[in-house]
Amino acid sequence: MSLALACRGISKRYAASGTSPLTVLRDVDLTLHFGRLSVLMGPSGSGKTTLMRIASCIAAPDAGEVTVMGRTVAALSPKERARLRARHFGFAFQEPRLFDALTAIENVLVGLAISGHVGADATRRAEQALAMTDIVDRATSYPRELSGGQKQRVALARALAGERGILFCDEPTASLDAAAARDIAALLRRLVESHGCAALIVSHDRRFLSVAHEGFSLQDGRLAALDTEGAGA
Amino acid sequence: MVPSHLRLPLRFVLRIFLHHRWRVAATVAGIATASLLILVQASFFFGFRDAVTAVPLRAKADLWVAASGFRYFDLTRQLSDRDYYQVIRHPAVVQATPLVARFAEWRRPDGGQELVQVIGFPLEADIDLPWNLPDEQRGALGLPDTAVVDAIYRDKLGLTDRDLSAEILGRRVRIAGTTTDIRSFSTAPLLFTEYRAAQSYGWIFGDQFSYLLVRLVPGSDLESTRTGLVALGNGELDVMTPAELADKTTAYWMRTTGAGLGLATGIAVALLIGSSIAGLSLHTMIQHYAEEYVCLRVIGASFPFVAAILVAQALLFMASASGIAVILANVLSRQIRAAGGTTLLPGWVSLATCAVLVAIGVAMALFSAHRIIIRAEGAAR
Repeated sequence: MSLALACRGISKRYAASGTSPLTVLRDVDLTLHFGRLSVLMGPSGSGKTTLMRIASCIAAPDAGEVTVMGRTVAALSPKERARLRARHFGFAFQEPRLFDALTAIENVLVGLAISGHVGADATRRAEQALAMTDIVDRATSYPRELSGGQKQRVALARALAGERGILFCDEPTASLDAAAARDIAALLRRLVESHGCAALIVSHDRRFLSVAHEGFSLQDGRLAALDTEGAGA
Repeated sequence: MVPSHLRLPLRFVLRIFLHHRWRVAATVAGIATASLLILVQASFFFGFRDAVTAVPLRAKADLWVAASGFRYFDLTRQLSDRDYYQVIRHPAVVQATPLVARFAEWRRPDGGQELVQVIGFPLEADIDLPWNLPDEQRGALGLPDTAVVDAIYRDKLGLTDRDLSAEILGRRVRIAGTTTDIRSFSTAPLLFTEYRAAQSYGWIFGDQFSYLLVRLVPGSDLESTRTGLVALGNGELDVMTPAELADKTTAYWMRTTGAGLGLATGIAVALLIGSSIAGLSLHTMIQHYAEEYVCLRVIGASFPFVAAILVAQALLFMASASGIAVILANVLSRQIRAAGGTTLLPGWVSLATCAVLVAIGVAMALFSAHRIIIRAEGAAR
C-alpha cells in the first residue's frame, strides 16, 4: 500500500471583514494511499472542501506541507501545480461540469488534451475510461441526453482518463437520487480497486462509509478517524 | 496547417458555434449591430470630410495661395491680378492658376431659387477639375455659358432632359455635362464653369479670383518657396499645401458648425457604445461556460490552453460579426450616397473598425481567461 499523497500539519485561516480571522484547518494530517478510497465528512463550513483544495494543489495552506508521490509541492509555481494536477489528479464535482456542446467522449477528450494526450491514442484512452465507468454505450450522446448519474459517470471517466493516479471528488452524489448515488459510490469503490488509484471523496453522504477503506471527520478544524464498513475489504 | 496544440481549441469553438446556433446568432447580431453603429457614424464623418475637402484635395496643385486671414475653402476674401503677378515672379513657380470659388443664386427654370457654389478656372489650365466627368463630355465647358454639375443635383436645380438651362444673376447658364459622385456638404451643389463666367456668376470684378493654384518647378523646395511667396505678398497672402487647406477647412466646419462637431462626437460615442456592446455580448457568451472553464483549470488546464479557447471564440465572433457589419455598412453607405447623402466609408476605416473589435475581443478573452484562473485558484488562497 504505497503512499500517494500526504498533508502534514496543514493550517488555514480566512480573513473575514469586521471579525477576527476564521481558522478552518488546525494542524491537520491526511494521507492517501494507492488502491484506497478515503471519505472526508463533516458539517457544512467545516473546511472539507478547503482541505481537498489544498490536498489537490489548487490552494496553498498557511502552514504545513503537501507532498505528492514524495514530491513537496510548496515550492511549485501555479503553472507547475496546474501541470501536476493535469498529469496525476482527476476531479469530479457535485455538478459534472460537462460542456453541453460536446458529446460524452469529446468531454473526456478535453480532459485528455489537458494532460497531453491527443489523436488516436487519446480516443482509445477515452473509450477505455468510458468503459470503466460503464457509460461507453452513450459515448456520442450530448450531456442533455444523459441522466444526472450518467453525466457523473462521464465526469468520472474524464477524471480517470490518462491514467491519473489520484482522484478527488467533491460531493459527487449530492445532486443525484438515492439509486444513482448508490451506483456512483459502488462504482468509485470498484474503480479504486481495479484501477489502483487513490481517491478522496468529500461528502455529506454517509453511504460512502459503507464503501470507503477509511473515513475522516472534520470538525472545528481538526481531523478525526471514522469507522468504515469497507475498511476490511 | 493548424498547429496540433491549437486544433482542439478551434474544434471546440466551432462546436460551440454549431451547437448554440440561436445563442451564437444573437451574440453575432449584437456585435454586428454595434459594429454597424460605429461604421455608419464613421461613414457620415468621412463623408463630411470628403465633401468639405473635395476641391482642395482633388485639384492638381503644390501650393494654394489665398488672401490672408483664410479660414475655410468655401468663403474667402478675393485676390487680384496684382497678387497673381507677385506669385508668378517667384523663380520656383512654374504655373499659377486662378480659381474662383463663390456662392451664387441659381434661378431654376420653374422660377425657384437654389444656392450653388461656383468653381471657375481657365479651361486650358491643367488642374484636374472637374473630376468624374465622362471623357465624351470633356469639351462641355468650351461652349459659352456652360457649366457642369453632379447628376445627383439635377432635380434640386430643376433640370430636366428637355430643359437644361437656368439663370444666375440674370445671366443664362446651360448644363452641358454631368459628373458622378461629387457631393457638397453645404448642400449648395458645386457648379464647375469657365473662369470668366464664374467671375460673372460670383459677382466679382474681372481682375478678382479666390485662389491661386501654384505648381512648382520640379525639385524645388516647398518650404522655402512658401516662405518666399509669403514674403512677396507682404503679409497679404496665406500659402498652404492642399492638405493644410483641407485640414483648416475641416477644422472650421468641425469647430464652428454643430454639424461637424456632432459627427465627430457621434463617431466617438458610437465607438464607445459599440465597443461596450460588442465586448459585453462576447462576455455573455464566454460566461455561459464560465464554470466549465474554471473546471478545466482545476483539472490542470494551463493558462494558454484556456486562453486559446477563449481567444479563438473571440476571433470567430468578432471577425464574423464585424465582417457582416462591414458588408451592411458599405451597402448602406453607398445607398445613402447614391441618394445624395455625404456618406463615405474608406476601406481602411472598415479594416480599422474590424481590427479594433477583434482587439477588444482578444483583450476580453485574455481578461476572462485571467479571471477564470483567479476564480479557480484564488478564492481559497
